[in-house]
Amino acid sequence: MIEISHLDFRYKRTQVFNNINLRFEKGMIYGLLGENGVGKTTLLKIITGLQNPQAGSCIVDGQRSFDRLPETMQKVFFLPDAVELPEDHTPEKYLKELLPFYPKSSMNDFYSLMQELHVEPQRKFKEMSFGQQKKSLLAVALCLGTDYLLLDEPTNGLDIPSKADLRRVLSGRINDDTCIIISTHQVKDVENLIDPIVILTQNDVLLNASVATITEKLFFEYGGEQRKEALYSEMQPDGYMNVMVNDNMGESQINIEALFNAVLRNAEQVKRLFAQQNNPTPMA
Amino acid sequence: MNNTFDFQRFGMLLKKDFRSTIKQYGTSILVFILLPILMMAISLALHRPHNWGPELRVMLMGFFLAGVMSIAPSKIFHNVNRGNAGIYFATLPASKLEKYMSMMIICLIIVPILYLVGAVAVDMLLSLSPRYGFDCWLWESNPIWEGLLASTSEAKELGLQHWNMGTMVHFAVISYISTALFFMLTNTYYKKNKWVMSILTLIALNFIVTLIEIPFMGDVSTFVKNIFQNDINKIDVLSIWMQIIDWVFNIGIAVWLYFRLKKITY
Repeated sequence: MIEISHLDFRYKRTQVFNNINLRFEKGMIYGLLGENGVGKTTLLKIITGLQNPQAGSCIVDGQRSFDRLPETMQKVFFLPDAVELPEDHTPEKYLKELLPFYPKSSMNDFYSLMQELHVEPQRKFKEMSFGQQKKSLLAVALCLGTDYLLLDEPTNGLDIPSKADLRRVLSGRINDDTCIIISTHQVKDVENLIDPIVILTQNDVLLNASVATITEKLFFEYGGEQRKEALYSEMQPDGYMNVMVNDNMGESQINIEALFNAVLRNAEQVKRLFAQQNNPTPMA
Repeated sequence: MNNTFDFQRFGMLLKKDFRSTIKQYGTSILVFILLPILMMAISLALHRPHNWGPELRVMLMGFFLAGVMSIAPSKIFHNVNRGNAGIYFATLPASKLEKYMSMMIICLIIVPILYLVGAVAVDMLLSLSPRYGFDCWLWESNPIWEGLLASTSEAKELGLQHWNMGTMVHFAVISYISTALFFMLTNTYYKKNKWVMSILTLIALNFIVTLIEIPFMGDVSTFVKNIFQNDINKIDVLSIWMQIIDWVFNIGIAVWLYFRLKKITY
């Protein structure tokens, strides 16, 4: 488990996090959403031990993340949005350098992943497109067998078929011993993948809940008229899509983009609504 | 699992860093090794064959060794403090102590050995065709060694106990270690133009130290003159103190480097 408690973080004079609390448990794929500059990447870096909070703590399986102990580093892998690659390397060679340090890693796994993602493992990085490089690194990340996989904008630069490959590969990877955290703007790319959903804003966590809890508290209406009581409304070809407080309206299909907009525009109300939900559980 | 130091894990890391050294810096070391050949070729091409006496060969080797050791950290551990590129270094599952020791061994031992073995081998190769001063092995007839030996026997005649060949070699070794450590430390601070910025920092520091020393110069010169005139044994004490100060400086830089690596953020 990753436990973030009373975390304060700032870059020089810019406060990024102010007393935030979060918990990430194994067996889930978390979606980490937020506007540009709210600190999504910073949070991932704090979890990986690449940044040190000014106050509070980030504990990964009982160890402080910033200590960057080998035992912790074997459990956590962070794939940033932009990676500076050794251009003369092939993905296979790149992985072989890392392999001895990760006891649960598997070359066979890597080869099958590369096949699934349609990338040649013996091709040099400099001969690949950005999307192919990204898929290669994702395969490397997945086959290292870490307990926690942190992906920053994993669908950036991927074409539509590749995004589908990514979703398929990631959903096939999740089990009780792993936790995946995906930070993204491209919510539509990971809509059916992420659960729970964490929404960050400046200095705060606006939402941290499972999809089940969200649809219990909020109702997503499609194809209706615009409603005054809606937290957020969006005109669509077949009518308005409204996000409303769920007042015994039953279940609905979540729309993450609409959820995001609803939460941002009604931050305090949403926080009060979800105030009891601190430990999200995955969908059945 | 031992999170502080594990020999097997350290061995894997050292092996990986050694491979990186050869890949990222091997060609540059080779260039330094072959520079005497290049310089000789240029002088022959310009019809100005130079007599490469053994003292010049040793001096050049020493000079190039300093160059090799000063550039090594920024070439081999270039990404140690650089944003996304440094993530790979920081998150590799090895302890900070292991990463630190690997860096020290590579920069202070492996790189100089690689250069010296190559440089001496090239020198021996050139000595096989004795011309232009390459008419003896490096260690055979060399005014530098003779000068050093002469100064040590003179020192013994004067009654000095600690001014000997060992002391002078010791000073030379300390100065190379200081050079390497300084560049290793500055490598963890500067993100671009690392070697150039390090040189500029060195110049700036020397300037500042000189400014501080100037008011005391008169007193120091009187002090040293008195030492040489009045009590020859104080030279012994002075040389011991100089070695101690040098080692304290080196240990200080080494400790600073360790804590810098420990606390780097990305």
